[in-house]
Amino acid sequence: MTALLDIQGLTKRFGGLTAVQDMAFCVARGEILGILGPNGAGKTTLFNLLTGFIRPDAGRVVFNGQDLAGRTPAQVVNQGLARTFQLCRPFVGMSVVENAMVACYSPRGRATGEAPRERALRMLDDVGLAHKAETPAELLSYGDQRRLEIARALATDPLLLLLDEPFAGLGASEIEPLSALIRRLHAERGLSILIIEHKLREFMQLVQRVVAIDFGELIAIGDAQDIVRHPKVVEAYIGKTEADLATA
Amino acid sequence: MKITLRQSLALAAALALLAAVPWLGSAYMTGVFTVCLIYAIWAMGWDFFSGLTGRENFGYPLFIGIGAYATGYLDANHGISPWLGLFVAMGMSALLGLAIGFPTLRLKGPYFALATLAAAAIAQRMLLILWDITGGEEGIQGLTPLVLDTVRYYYLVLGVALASGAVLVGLSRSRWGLLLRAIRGDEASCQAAGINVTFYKIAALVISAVFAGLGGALYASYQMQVSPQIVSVLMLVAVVTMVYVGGIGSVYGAAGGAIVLSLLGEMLRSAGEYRLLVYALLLIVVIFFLRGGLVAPLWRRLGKGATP
Amino acid sequence: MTDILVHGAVTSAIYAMLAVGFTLVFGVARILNLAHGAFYMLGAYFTYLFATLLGLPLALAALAAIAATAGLGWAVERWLIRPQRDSSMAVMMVTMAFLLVAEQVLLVTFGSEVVNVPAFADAKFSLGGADIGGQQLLTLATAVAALAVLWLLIQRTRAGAAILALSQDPLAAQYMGIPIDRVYGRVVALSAALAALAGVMAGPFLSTSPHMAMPALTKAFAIVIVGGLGSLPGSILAAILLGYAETAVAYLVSSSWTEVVSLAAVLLTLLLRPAGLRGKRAAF
Repeated sequence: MTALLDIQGLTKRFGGLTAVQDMAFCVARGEILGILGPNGAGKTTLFNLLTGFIRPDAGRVVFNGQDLAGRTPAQVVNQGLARTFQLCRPFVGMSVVENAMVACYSPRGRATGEAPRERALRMLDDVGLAHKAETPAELLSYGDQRRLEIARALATDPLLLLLDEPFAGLGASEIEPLSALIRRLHAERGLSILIIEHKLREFMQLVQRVVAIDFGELIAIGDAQDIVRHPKVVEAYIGKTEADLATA
Repeated sequence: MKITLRQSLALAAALALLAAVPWLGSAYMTGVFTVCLIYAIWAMGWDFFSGLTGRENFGYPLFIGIGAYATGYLDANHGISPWLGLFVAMGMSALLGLAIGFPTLRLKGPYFALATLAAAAIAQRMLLILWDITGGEEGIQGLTPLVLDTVRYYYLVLGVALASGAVLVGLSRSRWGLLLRAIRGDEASCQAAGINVTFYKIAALVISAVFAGLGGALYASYQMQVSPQIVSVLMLVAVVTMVYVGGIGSVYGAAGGAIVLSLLGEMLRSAGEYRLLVYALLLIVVIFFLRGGLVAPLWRRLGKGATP
Repeated sequence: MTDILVHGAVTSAIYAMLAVGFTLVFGVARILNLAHGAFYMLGAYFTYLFATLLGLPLALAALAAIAATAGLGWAVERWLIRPQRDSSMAVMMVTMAFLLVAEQVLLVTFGSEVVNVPAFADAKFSLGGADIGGQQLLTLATAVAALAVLWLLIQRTRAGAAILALSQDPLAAQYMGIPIDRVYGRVVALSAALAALAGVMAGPFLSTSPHMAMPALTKAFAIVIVGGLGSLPGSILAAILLGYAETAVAYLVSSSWTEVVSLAAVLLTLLLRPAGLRGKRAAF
């Protein structure tokens, strides 16, 4: 069975700096693949390349059998590849349900045949925000803003969801519910997920396979348990000493 | 659209008064209100794009002008009926909207405002340079009015204004309004939500332009002439002041602002040469003290309370 | 040919003085000061007021005019722009309104006729076959001197360093303790002074009327779009390009087509290279 997402030889340079170097891996349908790497490793750049926000200097991205070359971010989303941002960006001055409705008006969202407002409310219900539908989006707690981001992404009926550090900035009490939500979305909808995250404990609970990145290059790929013990990965994060990653 | 009893009454009263203008006032006042309603169309058109997206279209008079000049030129030089001219005007301003929208809407923030302002200022100069087509300083004279009777002209414009208001306010409350406000909020997030931002921006600008051109054609035919003044900064300031007074972003408020300021303008008629000075000072006052406008907050105040 | 060379230089000089201030304000404070054209106009009118109507010696009148306009510029920043800084639309509308107020006040006070601003030098010279007035040559010299002084100010003084810092990173500059409000006020005053200087020098040979503010503003931002908003070298470069292009068109084609030059330049810039010749911050 062909992979849902096939990244081939992806490279991006910014002036003298090579942010992503010859990146290549696949995401299978229905799997949760994690991306691990220290700050500055090129993870968000990779997401921006995959979602059409920046153009690669070399390589290609094949999603669901389609080459994504030259597509705008909106076009990529309408192919079924949705993302959330590291910094939550709700639409200010609009309510929570209005925020979700925006995504329901995308061509792909409309293609589901559901009335936008109904679909928006259903997405909010899925992420547990239905009771806050009329709240101004900027008044939400950070954890709720994260959920809203996910609801917006879900409204576009994605096949693959890219989550960029979904647990960043969340308090201890907000992390577990969000993790449970992600697991539930994966189980109930068969949603494929590609996730960048630093919080190793939550990361390990969610992902099946892991891609480890450092300095824009793929340094290891494999099952989660194997990767965290991989010497190159340990070295990238902590230096040449053994670490307690194995106990995560 | 939910509307309260008080709002319905207020709206009905306003419509009744507008319908009764020719009976309540002199022929002169009917004329004043005719122009006022054309300004209402212009103001709503501007608010639909700039008020919702937050991108200041300072070249708006260009769209007004092309509508006016298109119908004027065809009427004076080719005897084309001003009724047909209305549609030509709308078509021309739509095309101009596309032509200007494509290169400028990619630009961020102040660049768009600057570019559109420059375009309008330069276009006004071009009107003078191309005097053999446009009539230069004097413009084009002796145009045919759409209807000969002042009262009938008023009702014609009232009808067009109401229809325009219905369309523009309706759009602003539909997905158009939602998406345009989202685009104002965060374009990247809109793209991440699968929305073709460029399409909506350009389409909204074209819609705004069409109504500007329509108003321009109505105005030219009413005044039976068209002059470069219609593409001036003063026109822009007048329209924007009306929108501010009405409540920027509400679209319906713009119409109310047009009425308020037209009445004010009439009261200031005695100020003679000081009129424009007062307008400019008024704009400063409005920006400082009435940022949310007068009409929209009033309407919302009427909206509080039981629905029927 | 020498006509174009010489007169083109004068036009470029005036344009440079106009555009540099406008771009400075945008580069530092990120605002479009639409009152800018008014400062040019007021420089000329204040000189007329002080010299012709109040009888002051010309040099004194000119200095007073520049000082008065700079003060007005500072006041506009302090009382019109600063309270509205959260909304770029409000800033543009309020500065535009100021331009209109200035225009109307002058119209009502002095009438719409052209007024005669006294010149420093009435003599006519002949430079390599080109006829040029003394005032125009003086304008050219003044512009060069003023821009040199500006460059020194920005590169060599602490105040200049503050301006540079603010234009690069307002937040960091604030953390460094730079008083941004004070710097903004100074920058607007400085830009007003430059525009006023252009008005003082050019007023005598260009028509001075209450309607000169808008065209000056349009010209300033055409230059600044072409040169790149926020780039001083860009503005100077664009001023020279447009100044010479317009002069060439005026001599070779017809003087009524000079406006087409700015239009074409602006359109080309927006279509091909929206950031302008030397725009640091890309337009998108």
